[in-house]
Amino acid sequence: MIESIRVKNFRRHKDLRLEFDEKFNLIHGRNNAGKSTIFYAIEYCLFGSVLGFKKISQLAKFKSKDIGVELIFKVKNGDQYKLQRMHKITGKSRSAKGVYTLKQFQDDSESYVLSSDFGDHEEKLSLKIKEISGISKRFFETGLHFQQGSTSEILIGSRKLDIVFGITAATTLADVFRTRALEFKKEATNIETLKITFKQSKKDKKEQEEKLHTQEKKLQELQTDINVKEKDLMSFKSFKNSVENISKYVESFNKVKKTRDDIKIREEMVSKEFEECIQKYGEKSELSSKLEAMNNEGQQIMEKISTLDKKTETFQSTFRDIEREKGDIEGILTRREETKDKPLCEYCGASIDPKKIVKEVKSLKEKLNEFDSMIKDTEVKENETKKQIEELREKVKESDTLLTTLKTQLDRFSELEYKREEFKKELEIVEKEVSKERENLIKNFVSTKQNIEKEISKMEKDEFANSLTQVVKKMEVKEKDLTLENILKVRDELNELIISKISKLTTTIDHLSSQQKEITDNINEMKDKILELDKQIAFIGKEISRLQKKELLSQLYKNYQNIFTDIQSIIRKNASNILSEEILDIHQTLSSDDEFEKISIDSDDYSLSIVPKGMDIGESYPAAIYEGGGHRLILGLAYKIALGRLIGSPPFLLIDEPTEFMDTDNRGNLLSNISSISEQTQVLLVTHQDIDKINCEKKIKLEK
Amino acid sequence: MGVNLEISEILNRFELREQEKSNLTRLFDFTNYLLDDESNLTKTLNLVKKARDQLIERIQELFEGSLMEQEDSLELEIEDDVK
Repeated sequence: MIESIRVKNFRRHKDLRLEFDEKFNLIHGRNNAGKSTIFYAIEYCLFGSVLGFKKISQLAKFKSKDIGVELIFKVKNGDQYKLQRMHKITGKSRSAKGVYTLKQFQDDSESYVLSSDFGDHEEKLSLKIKEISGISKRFFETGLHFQQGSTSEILIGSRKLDIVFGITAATTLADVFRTRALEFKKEATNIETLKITFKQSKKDKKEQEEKLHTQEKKLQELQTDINVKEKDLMSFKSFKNSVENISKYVESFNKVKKTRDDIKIREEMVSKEFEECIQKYGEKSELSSKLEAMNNEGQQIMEKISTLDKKTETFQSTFRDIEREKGDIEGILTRREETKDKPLCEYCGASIDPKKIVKEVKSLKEKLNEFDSMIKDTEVKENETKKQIEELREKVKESDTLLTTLKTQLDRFSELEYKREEFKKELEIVEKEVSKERENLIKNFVSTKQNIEKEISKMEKDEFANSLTQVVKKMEVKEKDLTLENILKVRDELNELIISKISKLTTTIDHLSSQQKEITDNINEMKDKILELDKQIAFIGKEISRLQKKELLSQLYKNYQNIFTDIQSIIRKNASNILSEEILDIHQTLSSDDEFEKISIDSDDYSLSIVPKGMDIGESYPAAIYEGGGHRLILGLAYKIALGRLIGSPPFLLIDEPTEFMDTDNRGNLLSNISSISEQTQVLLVTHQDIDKINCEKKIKLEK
Repeated sequence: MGVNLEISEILNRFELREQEKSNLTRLFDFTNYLLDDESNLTKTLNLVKKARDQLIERIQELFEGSLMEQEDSLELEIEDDVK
């Protein structure tokens, strides 16, 4: 029931508020006063659109930029709601953007139910209105709002009633469910094949897992085998190292021995050279004596030379003395010669005795001659001495050469002697080293033997162990009897045995490793295969599950299809039967004449047929061509009211000018009969005729 | 009148679980909502493709979504067969 309405800028109303009675309300006024607009405003507020108006802007007051309606209504259970809707109109095209709010009154306060401000879409509001009041847009158009001049159009029926009754909805749902059921069934036909593939994949996986298990076990055994062999190999490599250690000791021993031999050779060479020197130069002592003698002789010569030198110097001195005296005498002689004829000496002025002078000259000349003779003698003697000196010097020279040769020989002797001594010392040291190395070599040999014996005790008694035992037996020689040759022989035998064993082991390990690699590759391949199968199983499992669900849905939808097929059939069958009975009943209420025997509805197009009173039941007329517009109008009104009641429980009826084309009597009857309908349903009636005659709860006059 | 065209009441005639009834009622109301809008109708008064798709979407939401998202329990049955 509509309690009140407020309209703003809606068609011709700027701001209008109306309150309604819960029964019969008459809205009247002159033409173009905006009476029908109130019904449009109710439709606009409930659904956001009005049938026959494509744009919201067509509903707005001229030049207004917004439009709004507020509806306060009460539903069957007594709850009171307020629905507000408004649109903003913008731009040249006057496009409209709308908002709405639905509130519920509770204990003098309002609470939000839905609002476009909270993101609630129009669909939500529409379903909410249907839920609380039973009104849908189609129900409103068909069963609640009786538009001016169109009331009797219903008599020719309308396929749209299928929609109103929910038949179309049921048919549509049956169809959609049928289509989906078929789609899913078709999709699920593959399910059995998939199940077989699934089982096969599981079986394959199990087989692969068993194979994998066997291979993994084999790999584990192989790994154990390899570990044992590798341990053996390590042990034999260690043998080999021990044997190589013998070689090292032998090598070291040989090296020292070689050094000793080299020294010996060199020492022998020096000794030999020493002997050769003796043979060549004589004994060293002889050479030394000779050298001493020669040194003495040389010294004597040198002393002689020195004496002769001194003699020569004496001669030289004598010679110089004679020369000086000679010179003095020659001077005196010269002066005497010059003065012998003169009476006085021109130097001292003394008188000169010529005879004396002649005598003196003669003596002086004789003296000079003596001197000359003396000089000659001295010269001879000096020359002799010089010759002697020369001879002696020559001798010294020869002696020096001999002396040098002797010294060289003696030096060589000394050098060789020194070398021989050095070699002896070196030999002493090296001999010690040789003996130490030999000791080490033997120690190592014995230790190697012991190690091998220890290893043999741990070994399997196979051919190799026997051969090794044989070799070890050869090592059991007394230390003093151990020769390098023996050691080397044993070493070579051991080496040969161990290398052969290592080679065999390496080959075996290589072979096992290759097997291991092959098995590992196989295992990886199997794991990949299992992984692939797992993926396949998971995928198929999911697919089966998906298809099983689809199959389930297909069955479910098939059931729903059947239900909705039944529903549409139930509605169709009942709707037309009940509707025809209801129309007859309402018509009897609205009309003053009880003129019809029967009213029937075509269940296909919902057209109305009538059987007037007194006519055979089999003979019926289409109501649309039944004579008299007034009659058709009442029939149409009855049809619409019946429709409303059939669809739900109409909370109100909006009836717009129902009495047009009716005569005064019928008009009066109809309006008073409508009044009786309002006992059950609120009626809002718009008319401009017989206002004063109408008996209603509220009259609302709208001014133009 | 004796006859009620209320879908929830009609659905009571069928063996359906409460949840199913509720879902089918909601679906029926939604279909009517779609059919109420003239722009959703073809000339023969069927739903246009867009509206039909909306309806299918709603069916998926109401009936398919939760079922399709359920954990697979069916696989086990097949697995048991293999064992």
